[in-house]
Amino acid sequence: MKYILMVLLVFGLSSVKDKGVDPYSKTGHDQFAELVLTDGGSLIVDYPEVFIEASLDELKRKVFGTTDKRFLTYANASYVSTTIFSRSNKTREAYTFAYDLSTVIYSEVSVSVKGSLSAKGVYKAKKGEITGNGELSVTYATDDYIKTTENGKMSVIIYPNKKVSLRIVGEAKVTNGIRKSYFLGVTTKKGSYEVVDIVSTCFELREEDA
Amino acid sequence: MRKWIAIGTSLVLIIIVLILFLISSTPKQVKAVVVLKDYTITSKVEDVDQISVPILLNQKSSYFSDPSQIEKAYLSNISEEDFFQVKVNNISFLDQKVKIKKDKYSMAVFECEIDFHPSDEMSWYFPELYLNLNFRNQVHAKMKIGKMSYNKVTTFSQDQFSLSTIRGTTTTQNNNIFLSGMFLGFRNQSTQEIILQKVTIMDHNLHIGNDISEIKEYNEKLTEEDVLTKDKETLEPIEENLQIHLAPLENKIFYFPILYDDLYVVQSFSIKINYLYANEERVCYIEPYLFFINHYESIDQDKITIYQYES
Repeated sequence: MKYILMVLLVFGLSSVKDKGVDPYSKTGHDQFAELVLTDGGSLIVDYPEVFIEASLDELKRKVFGTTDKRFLTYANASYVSTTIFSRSNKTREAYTFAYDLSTVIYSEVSVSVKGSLSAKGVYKAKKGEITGNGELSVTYATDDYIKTTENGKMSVIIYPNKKVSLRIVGEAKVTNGIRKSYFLGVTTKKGSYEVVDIVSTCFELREEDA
Repeated sequence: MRKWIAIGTSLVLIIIVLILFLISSTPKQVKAVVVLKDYTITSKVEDVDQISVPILLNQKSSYFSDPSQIEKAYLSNISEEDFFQVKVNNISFLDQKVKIKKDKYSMAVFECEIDFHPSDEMSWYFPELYLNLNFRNQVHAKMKIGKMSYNKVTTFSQDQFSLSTIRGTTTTQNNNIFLSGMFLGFRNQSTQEIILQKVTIMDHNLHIGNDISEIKEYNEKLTEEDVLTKDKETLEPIEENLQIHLAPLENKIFYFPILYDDLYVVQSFSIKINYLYANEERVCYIEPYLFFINHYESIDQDKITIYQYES
C-alpha cells in the first residue's frame, strides 16, 4: 500500500507544472498570420478556457490509457503565413538578391498543444523530430498520395527605396480536440491540441515601398 | 535415435520453409510506375540543366536503381527522331511507399543531367516525352514520363521594368491542385513609356486565357473567384496585342487566367514578355518562378501504366 501511495505521489508531483504566460498568437501557431476554417468550426485558440475545462471534465475516466474527443478532423482551411523573408534597399543603387527556397524554413506540419500534453504524443510521425514549440520537419503520406518536394531559385532586383517580401498562402487540414491520459485512474496529462497539415503552398513575391 | 530423427526432420522443414519464403518474397520482375509530369526548363545557354524524374519501383535494390548499371540514357519523342542524351547522376529513394494493385512501390528520383550545350537561343517541345534507359544486362527500358518544353535564352535581365508582384492562384481537379491563373505586377523603371504587348508562358502545354483583368486593389488574399466575381476592368487586347501602357515609375497589376492542353501538374515556369520601348520591339524573360507546391500529389490508379522488366 505504501509503495502504491508513493508511486501516485511521484506521478502527482511530476504533473504539476508552473503555469507561465504563453506568447500571444492570433491563430495559436507561430508561422500562420491567419488561419481560416472554410467549412465552419473553430480553432482551439477561439474556444473559451471555461469550455475546454468543462469538456475535459466530461471525458470518460479510464484506469490506463487516453481518452480523446475531436472537435475537428482534417477540416479544410486556408492560411496566410507570416513573412518568410523581406529585403529592403535603402541605397541609391539597385542590387540583385538571389534566394533559394531550400533555405527558407517553414514547417509542413504545425502542432500546438496546451495544458500538460506533449506534441510528440499528439502527432504520430513515422520519421521526424519535434523541436521547440512542436514543429515537425517531415510528414507521412497515405497510399493514394505522393509526398512531393520542390525547390525554387530566383534572382530579384531590389530598386532604391523598395523592399521585396516573400509570403506564403495556401490550403491546410486542421485537426483539433481535447485529451486526457490516465494511470491507475489518476489523470497524468490533460489539455487541448491542434495539428495543421499544410496541403498546398503558394508563394507570393511582392515589391513594396521600403 | 527417434529424437535425432525428429530434430533432423524439423530442421529440414524449417530450411525448406525459409527457402520457399525467400523465393516468394523476392519479386520476379522489376516493375516501374511513372508519375506523368509536365517538365518545363528555361535556362541560359551557358547553364547545365538537370531534370528529376520520379519513378515508383517495386524493388529498392536492383540494377534499375543503380546508376552504374546504366550504359546509355536519353530523353526522346516516341519515334526517337528527336532526343537529348542525359547522364543519370544519382538515384535516391524517398521515405515513402505506395500500394498499387497489391504491390508496394517506393518512390525513386532519377537525377539526370542533360548533355546538350547550344550556343544560341533555342526552343524544343516534346508533346510526349520518353525516358530511355539501356542497362548493362541488355534490358532496354522506354517509359513515357510526360511532356517537356525546353528553352534556352541568353539572359533573364529586365532593364526597363520591374516585376513588382508575382503570385499564382490554384484550383483542385481530380484530387490534384493546378495553377488556374497568376497575378503579375509590372512597374516601369525607365524614363520613357513602355507598352507591354504580349505575355507568354514558356511551356507549350499552358496558355494565357482571354479574360485578362487589371487589379486596382490588390492584396495577398485575393483569389481567382474574387477576380471573376467582382466588378473589374477587363483588358481589351487589340489584334492579340495587350497594349498595356506604363508611364515612367507607374505600377500596374493584372490577373492572367491559365488554360491547359493536357491536365498535368506544373508548379514552376518562365515567362516571356514582348514590349515596346522607345518604339523598339524588345523581349525579356522572367526567370522560372516556383508558383506553388502541392504537398500531396494524388495518383489516379486507373490511369497509370505499369512497366515490367526482367529482374
